[in-house]
Amino acid sequence: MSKSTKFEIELNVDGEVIEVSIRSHHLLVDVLRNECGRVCVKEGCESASCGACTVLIDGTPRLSCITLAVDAVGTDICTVESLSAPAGPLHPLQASFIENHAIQCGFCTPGMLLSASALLQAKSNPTADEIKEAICGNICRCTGYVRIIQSIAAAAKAIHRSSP
Amino acid sequence: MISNASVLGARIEQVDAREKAIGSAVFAADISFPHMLFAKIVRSPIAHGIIRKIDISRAAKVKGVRTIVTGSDVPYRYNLPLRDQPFLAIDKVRYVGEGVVAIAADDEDAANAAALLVDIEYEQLDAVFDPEVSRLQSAPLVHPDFKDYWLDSALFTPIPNSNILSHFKLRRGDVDAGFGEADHIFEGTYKAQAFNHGALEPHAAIALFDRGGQLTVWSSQQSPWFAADDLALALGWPVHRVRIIAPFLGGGFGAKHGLKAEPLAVALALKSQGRPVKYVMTREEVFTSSGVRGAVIVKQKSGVTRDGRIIARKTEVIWDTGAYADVGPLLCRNGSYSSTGPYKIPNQWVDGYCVYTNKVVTSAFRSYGTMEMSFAYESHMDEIARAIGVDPVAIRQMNLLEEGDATSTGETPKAVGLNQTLEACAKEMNWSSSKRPGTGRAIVSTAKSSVAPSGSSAFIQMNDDGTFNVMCSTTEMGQGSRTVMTQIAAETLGARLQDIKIIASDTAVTPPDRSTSSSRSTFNMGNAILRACEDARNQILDKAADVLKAARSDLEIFESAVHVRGDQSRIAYFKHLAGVRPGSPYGPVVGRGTHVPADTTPFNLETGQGRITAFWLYSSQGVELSVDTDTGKVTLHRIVSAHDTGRTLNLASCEGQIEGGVAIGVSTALFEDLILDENGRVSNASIGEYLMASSFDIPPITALLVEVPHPNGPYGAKGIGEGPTTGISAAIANAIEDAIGVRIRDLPITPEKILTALGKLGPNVIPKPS
Amino acid sequence: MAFEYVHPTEWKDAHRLLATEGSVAMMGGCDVLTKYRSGRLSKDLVVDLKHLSGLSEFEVSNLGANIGAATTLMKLATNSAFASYWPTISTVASRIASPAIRASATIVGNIAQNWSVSDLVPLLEVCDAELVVRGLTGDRRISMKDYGVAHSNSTLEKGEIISALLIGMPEPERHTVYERFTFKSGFDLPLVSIAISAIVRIGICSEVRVAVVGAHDMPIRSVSIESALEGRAIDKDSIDAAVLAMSDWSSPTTDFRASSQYRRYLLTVVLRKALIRFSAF
Repeated sequence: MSKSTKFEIELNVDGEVIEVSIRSHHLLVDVLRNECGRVCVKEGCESASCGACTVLIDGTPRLSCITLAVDAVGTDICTVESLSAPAGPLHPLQASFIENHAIQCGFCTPGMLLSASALLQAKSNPTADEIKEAICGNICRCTGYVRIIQSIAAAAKAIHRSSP
Repeated sequence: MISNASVLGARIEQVDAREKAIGSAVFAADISFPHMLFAKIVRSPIAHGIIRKIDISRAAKVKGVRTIVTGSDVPYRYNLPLRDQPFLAIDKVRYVGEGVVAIAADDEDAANAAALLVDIEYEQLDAVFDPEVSRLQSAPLVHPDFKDYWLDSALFTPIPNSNILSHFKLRRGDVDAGFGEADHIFEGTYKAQAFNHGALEPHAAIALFDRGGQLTVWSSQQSPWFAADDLALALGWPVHRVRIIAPFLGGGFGAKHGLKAEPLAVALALKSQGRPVKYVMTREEVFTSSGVRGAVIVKQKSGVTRDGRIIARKTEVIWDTGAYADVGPLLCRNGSYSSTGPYKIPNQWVDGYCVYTNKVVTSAFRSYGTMEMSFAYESHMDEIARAIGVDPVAIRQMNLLEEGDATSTGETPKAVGLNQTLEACAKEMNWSSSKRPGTGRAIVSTAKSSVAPSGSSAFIQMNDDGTFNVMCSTTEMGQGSRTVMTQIAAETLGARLQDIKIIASDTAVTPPDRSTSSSRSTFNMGNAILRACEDARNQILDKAADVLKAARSDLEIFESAVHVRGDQSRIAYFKHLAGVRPGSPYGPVVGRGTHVPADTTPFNLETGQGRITAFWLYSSQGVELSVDTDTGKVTLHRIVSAHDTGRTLNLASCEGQIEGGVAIGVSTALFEDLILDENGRVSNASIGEYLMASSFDIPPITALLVEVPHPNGPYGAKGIGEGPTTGISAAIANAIEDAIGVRIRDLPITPEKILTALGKLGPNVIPKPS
Repeated sequence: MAFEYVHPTEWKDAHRLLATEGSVAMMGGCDVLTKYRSGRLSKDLVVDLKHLSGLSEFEVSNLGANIGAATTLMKLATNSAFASYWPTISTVASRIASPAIRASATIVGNIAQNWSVSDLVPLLEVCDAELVVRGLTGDRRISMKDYGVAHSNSTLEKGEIISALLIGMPEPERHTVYERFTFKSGFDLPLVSIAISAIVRIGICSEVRVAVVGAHDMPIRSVSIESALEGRAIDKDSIDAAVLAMSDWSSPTTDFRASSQYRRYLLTVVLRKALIRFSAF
């Protein structure tokens, strides 16, 4: 059985341009994890139902498990690494998650933070229902979502306070 | 500004929160090595059959395939305390999804392609799915060779030539006499469903069998020492040849306790000439082949006086353990002895049967049987209360165990906070006022034991700069163990929190620990760490007395420095006391600590009496809800969840455990069900089809922490993890009866069951306007 | 299994590729790629249609909406012009699945999956939407209410591609209600749902359209329920008549989610709720 075509492509991940060699059927989640060093993007299911693989593509949350790597060429891909520079200050969402104990096992956290950051870009003062709607595709089994929702609301306020 | 403020009890930030928030926390599937192979498992499509032929010739030809292994290549059995489970099916398959052939290839594409080219011929055998059928003498045997399996007969008693791998017995007092004396007899049968743990991280293992003959496994394993022992025993090797390393786990809940993904990765690694083999389960495999919470049937019969005292209780519990034992025997024991509830009942009779069926294997789930047992005994309690006209809280107050009372196994636990949690819950729920119109409410109480005997150990070393490494096998799966162990270490040593580093979960580095399960770690490992730190502290004090030329009794330690009481000028910082640097006159400070709960006794297998618990988790949980009687849908308004922690060492962690556990309780009470078709195949093996509660389904949760300090707990602490999942399903069932007068005795409580109980469904019913 | 991936920009290439054996069309990727990930994709050529000319166009004019097949649910839900004429469809589209799925799932992909449950399909059936289907020989139109009847893609010929969804401008007095029942309160497909659309003048309903999910294999219009309401006001009698029609007409399945009895009962409950809401117009 012959393999599918190989492509040399460039992906823009967290502002870094990375050249990778992939085949046409390769999914973005696997290419990000295996070729781009982004094991922060997690895999939790095969049915696009858990949200662990959430990344931002051109600012919009997308599931990298149902995105072909070739389809992401020419876009800006953001993983959780884009929220803060290494050893730099944390994004208000990250700081809020930590402060409000919204992280237990941490497996849903990268995807959850990205869904939340897209929400806060669009809405500066989301209601609890809007927050739940924004994260409805990100499953968490550890926290019952309670502190995740509180943290996102708190981060929204913090961002609002700090911007003129 | 230095102080000797305690680091216990506050909202200490989780020590691993930052690395998880920035995405740098490593989980098993994130690990990679050069020349690594990728595994794919071919699994049985039938529930019971003889393997007649395996043809791997086409698969072997796929470019990139390096290793193909069948059961006869790795003919070992594992699973303590009943070694019935092969690495891969050897001559028979016993459930849909059982692994038959394992393939390792250079990349996933090759492995997947090869898997499609494996040809297996089966001769189907009659399968048995219903445990009530399977327990009968007439049922086909799932394990005809059972008598050849190694088992620990001190722990359980199988019934020979049957599918009953364990018959648990508890006999206390005279239950027939008790029934004779009672004013009322009540009976009920309660059923808990099979469901999946739902941890977001699928099981993953990387096995490396190097050319020196050492086996190293990186895996999502809750209990590395337990798994290493089991693996070594299965392979017939000394334990030191097996090393298991557990990084962060993306949720455990019992799903990852004991060998799960590891044997498959190991089977391949043993034949892969030193190349590491990575096996990550698909979500479908997690549903069908990793181990689930199995279905349980509980029959309760109670003899009650007219004022509501329970004087006799007889229970029968049927545990469906699936095709292999996994934790079956011990689950049957610990669950069954809990089946009569945390009540002062002088006459008790329990029969627990752990039964094989040709279904997916039952494994440990957060609360190890107490969720299922409490659904039964707390539903039963409200049915009793309602029938005799006693308030549900009052009947519990009358019957709940207090300190000094004996449990069903004849133990008298210390620090029994049951009534305190009930009081706290009732107060928060405003129980003494009427409920709101159109709602139903209920409060239940549960108790979950933490297993004993059960040992832990820890080492601590002072680094040259005065910071510390604490070697601790407890795995971090989100419950906050690394943080609480850091707190205990810092508190005991007098060190600053930031000077403590937990080195975790590596059997070559961290000393033995029974498991991360049973809510046992704060108590047992916490005590081990406490002792290791006391050991280190003594060494520190000895050295400091020398350096400071002071009497030991004049010294106090805080903020990582030793001070002479009353003289601020004399301080010895830890870094000045450390050392193996050249020129340092002081040797290293190294502490060790072990802990095993005291006063345990052997367990009498005929009477079910013995002291086999370290402490118990006491909980009272209340629910307020409404039911839409047109659709049957339940809307939860509020949950109050009160727990006796002994001593709350980290407030945020405990609240987080409560909220998360309650959410699982809600989800499993109302939505979750692992459904099998008539051929034993899981019908809903995907996250889309298997319903788990969304955040919209979780009502506001009030977490209440009650402290009844345990004299043997570290700083009085007990545990928290498994309490919150236990009582929610009974509370919901009871609140539904309170709301609309309908009693549901089998989980999950679906809208359809409610409408059926209301009499609204039937073939010729034409719905009338409500 | 591994597949080749092509993304034609010319229609003739797309037709040709889709006419070959082993090919499958892909839009947003939700369907095709989840099949691939769970090892159930038996095709080896995935033809991505998103880049075909015209497929991402989305126009709302006084003639109605012309929605290119590659328009995502997100684009549909955030178009304010569309929302002003079809508020119910817009609101429903904004709540399907999750934000991430809406960002890649396309309208037409959603329709073409032929799921037995869907939130969008019943709404499109009651607004008399049409699919524009492009084949080698040219375009034809299929009305949504006819498309839904066949529980497979057999209404399409080999090589045909759905290129657009057309929704005619609704009449000024037309109202639409959508009522759904889900087990969970978030991120769940309906077990049953009902879309009702009608012109209401001085309380009387005309040109009534009712589409039901969960009564049969696919979401479909119900002539008998429509007849029970046509030309009438929504009151106790017409509601009872509609409910009776539903009971006679519905033939739901029994599966692991629910029995047919429960679905049958629930359909009448949901119908009642929908009609009571409708009576406010």
